[in-house]
Amino acid sequence: MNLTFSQKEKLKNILFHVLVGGFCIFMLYPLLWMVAGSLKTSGNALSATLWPEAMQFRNYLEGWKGFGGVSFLTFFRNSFFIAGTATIGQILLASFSAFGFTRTRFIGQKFWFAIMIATVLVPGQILRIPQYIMFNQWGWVGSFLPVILPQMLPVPFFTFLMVQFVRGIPTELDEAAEIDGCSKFGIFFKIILPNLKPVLVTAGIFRFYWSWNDFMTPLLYLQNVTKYPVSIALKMFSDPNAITNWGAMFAMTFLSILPTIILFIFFQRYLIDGVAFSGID
Amino acid sequence: MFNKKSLALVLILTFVLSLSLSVAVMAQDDEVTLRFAWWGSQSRHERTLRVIEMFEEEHPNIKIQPEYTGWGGYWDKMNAQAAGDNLPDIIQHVRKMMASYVENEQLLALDPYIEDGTLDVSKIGESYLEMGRAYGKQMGLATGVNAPAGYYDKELFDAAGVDYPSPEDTWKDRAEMFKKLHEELGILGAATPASQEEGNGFVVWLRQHGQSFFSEDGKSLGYDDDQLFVDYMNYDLELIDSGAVQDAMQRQESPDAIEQDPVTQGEAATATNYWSNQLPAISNGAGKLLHPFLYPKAEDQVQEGRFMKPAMVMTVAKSTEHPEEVMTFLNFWFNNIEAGKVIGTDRGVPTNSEVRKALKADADKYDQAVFDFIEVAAENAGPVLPLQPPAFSEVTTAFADQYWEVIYGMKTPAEAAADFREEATKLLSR
Amino acid sequence: MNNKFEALDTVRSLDAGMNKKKWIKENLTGYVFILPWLIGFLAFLAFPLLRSLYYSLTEYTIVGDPSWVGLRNYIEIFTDDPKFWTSLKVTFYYVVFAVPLRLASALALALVFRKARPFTNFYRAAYYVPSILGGSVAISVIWRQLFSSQGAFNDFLVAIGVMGDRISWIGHPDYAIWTIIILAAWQFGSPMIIFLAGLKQIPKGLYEAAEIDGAGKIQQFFSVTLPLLTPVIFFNLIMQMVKMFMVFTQVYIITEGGPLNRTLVYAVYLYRKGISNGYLGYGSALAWIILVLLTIVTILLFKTSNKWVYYESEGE
Repeated sequence: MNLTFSQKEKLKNILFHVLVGGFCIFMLYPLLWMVAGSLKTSGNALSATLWPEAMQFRNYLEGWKGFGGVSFLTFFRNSFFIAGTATIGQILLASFSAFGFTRTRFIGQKFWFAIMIATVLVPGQILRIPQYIMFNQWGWVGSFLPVILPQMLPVPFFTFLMVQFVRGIPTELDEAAEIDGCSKFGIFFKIILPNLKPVLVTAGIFRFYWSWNDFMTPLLYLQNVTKYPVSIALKMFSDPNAITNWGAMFAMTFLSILPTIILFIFFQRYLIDGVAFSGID
Repeated sequence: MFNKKSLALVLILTFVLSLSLSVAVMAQDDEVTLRFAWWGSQSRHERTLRVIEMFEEEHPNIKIQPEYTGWGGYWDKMNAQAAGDNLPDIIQHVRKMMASYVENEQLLALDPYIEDGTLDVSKIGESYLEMGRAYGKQMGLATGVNAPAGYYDKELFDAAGVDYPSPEDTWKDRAEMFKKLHEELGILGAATPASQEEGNGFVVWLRQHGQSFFSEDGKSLGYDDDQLFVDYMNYDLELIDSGAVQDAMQRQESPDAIEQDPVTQGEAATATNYWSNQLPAISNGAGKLLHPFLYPKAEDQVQEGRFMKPAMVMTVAKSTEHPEEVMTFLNFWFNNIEAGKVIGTDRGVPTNSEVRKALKADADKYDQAVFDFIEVAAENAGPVLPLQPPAFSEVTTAFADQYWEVIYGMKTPAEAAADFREEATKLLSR
Repeated sequence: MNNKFEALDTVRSLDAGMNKKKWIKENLTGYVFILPWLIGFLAFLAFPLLRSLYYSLTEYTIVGDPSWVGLRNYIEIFTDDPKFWTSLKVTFYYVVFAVPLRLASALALALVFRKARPFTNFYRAAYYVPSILGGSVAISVIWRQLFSSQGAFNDFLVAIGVMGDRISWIGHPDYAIWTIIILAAWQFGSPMIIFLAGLKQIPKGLYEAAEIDGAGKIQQFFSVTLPLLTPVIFFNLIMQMVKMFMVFTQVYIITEGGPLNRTLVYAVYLYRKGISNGYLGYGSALAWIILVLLTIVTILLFKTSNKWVYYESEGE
């Protein structure tokens, strides 16, 4: 059988959609199941069927009420505050240091860069208790500080990515700006930062997602329920002594992953452009 | 190249967030604020907050800062706060975790406050006070009492023509009961013959044979004859063989959630590893009242081995700066009848006799069943369990490890008994 | 490349006098830029890390004070703690299978999504969803259902005739770890993104040249794509290995280390010992051991990288 080129392409496209689209179900199943669960009556939320027998949104209203008069409005606000500030801080810190590691020259530069990369190996668990004791001595426990500030410390991966990116920006731009009387800081803000956009978005999305999901740190440091983020609130639905309201839990879990999914869809293009590998060595 | 202005800009950017945040933290008020930590479910949070509200109305100079979470992570949080000398003033505790807190002087002894009358415990019976004592001192007050409970589905028993479980049943009777239910109905008699992994069944078994899980000084195991361990495991193995209870893999894969227990799904006629205060929850899960029953007796028992325990214990951090105000709160919590009505049986059946009376008077169907059951349990309870040693949770893990080895058929009960003894002795003698 | 700059530095510093001020200024500028990171690093990472090294040499229970015991914790871990060895074995087993599987799925899908077609954006997002769900409760419930004896996985195997009997994958001592490995292979979102980025940076001209030489699609993959992608593969390998060595949530929510401790990965054991049981000193020692181990494995991987990772810059 002889197919023309365009027929071949068409066939390929169909095959692609059938395979990839079919496989999609397998990837999306848990999400769909959870959304279905959030629409079922609470007692049936765990049943295996994907289609809720009677669509109802009660779980969302009930779940939104939260616990002891503190609603999910508060939890979401806290989550946005924590993840938002951590993200902005991380982006600034990472891009500052990336600039420092590439466009300035100072004693110990190589050493600090190596240290920075090496921190990727440090497991977070090792730091938990010493950090707690330290923050407690500083009087920070109960506030957002110990939750947010350590998360501003750039993940080495992102500083590394930014270093790669800054290296890719021609130094001629810097020199031209310097002749125009621009300081290093001017160069950073006027030339480097705008060019870093894709990698800033990449770093930002991941930091946002990680901070958003972090459960242990806020649990250890926040004392007042009105400061709890969503990640803690979701865990409060289950208790060994009581019936878990699965429907409400699924409803709120779904709402809680929406921001990440939206960010991902919206910024997908940058996400891939933000990872530059030219000249890994 | 660079100027002061931009340098300042960077530094400001770095610290502006932290500063603005610390300002928010430093805003404090003058009135006395007590921190009160508990774990629980939605309904417990609501009840507790209501009581706090009532208390603050009566005592406008004392503010209670509620710090509540779910059970998951609660102890991680408390442990970290203990390590940082930053415990809340009032802590909802459990008896099994108290030893290390007491030994390391994290908790405040209440005796002086009871003696000088600041804390009124006159309506709380002696056996209930005992539940809050550790090393001879009153280190807390039991919030309420709990008894280990099984739950059975009456309709299924009727259908199978099997007698309901009674407090006089022996372990042998129960094995027969599980088997008969299984044969008649084709479902499980129970998921497990008793609370196995957590060791509660074994504790009862040991006590009935005149022994205990831990020795009196908490430095070794409280029984010498490994045959007790072997017999206990064989009892389970025999039931597994008969198909009346779950096998190892089924137990491993079954979820922890109370509403997914086989008894609530009609896949088992009974459940054996619960507590009395879980009656409303498990009944809600099943959609009908499930009736509670006690652990069995041993055929050759030398003493009553069944027990009751505090559901939770209210304790006070030694580091509290306002012990007087804390006592005011505890007085309200334990003695105010209106508060007691709000708290209900959620933290066990109340220990204050007047509160109990008031609650009983207008108890609903579920609460009534809990009250009746606790009365039966009290009639059939041996001495209060001694305080578990600090290594308790590790020893329990070691026990669970061996229990799994046995039911998975990896070890004989005798091998497991010896291995458990070795491991436990090592942990306890440290 | 760096040597050149160092040489320049030397020239500059030799050129003292007039340039000394400039030199100080440059140094200062550099440090000002890395200062925020440096402060954060020292305060939130270096200092607590050193403190935990100290704790690892003490007996320190969570509600008591640390008391110096020298190397006792380490000696006990190596000589008298069978669970330490169990958890190491489990972790290595997990890493050895989960990392390649995750990378393979990530690479395969990246290749599929490389070419923009209608709906590719939607598909990419959809294939990323499992990674976003991470260790949420929905995943734990579904995984337990899927691999239970009554679950869909058994339905499938029985239907296609692979198995006659249903077994509990979660409950079986030999297979439980595989339910977690499969979960890891399924959550391949972030390495996929990185592969996509890497693929995008392979010059199109190379493919055209290969095509002119008569190479088919498969040959092109092996002669162009794979070699040029090796740095990215290596990068992903390191990142995922580090991550999976400390896998916690996924195991904790699905098997909690059971059955028979056959899924007791290192991070879960460390958590149990250090946090749940409250042995901070011992837990710190466990943490330092894995840190050293991780470092050694990483160095070894870097050593092998000379043999198989293709560096563009070598040609320059």
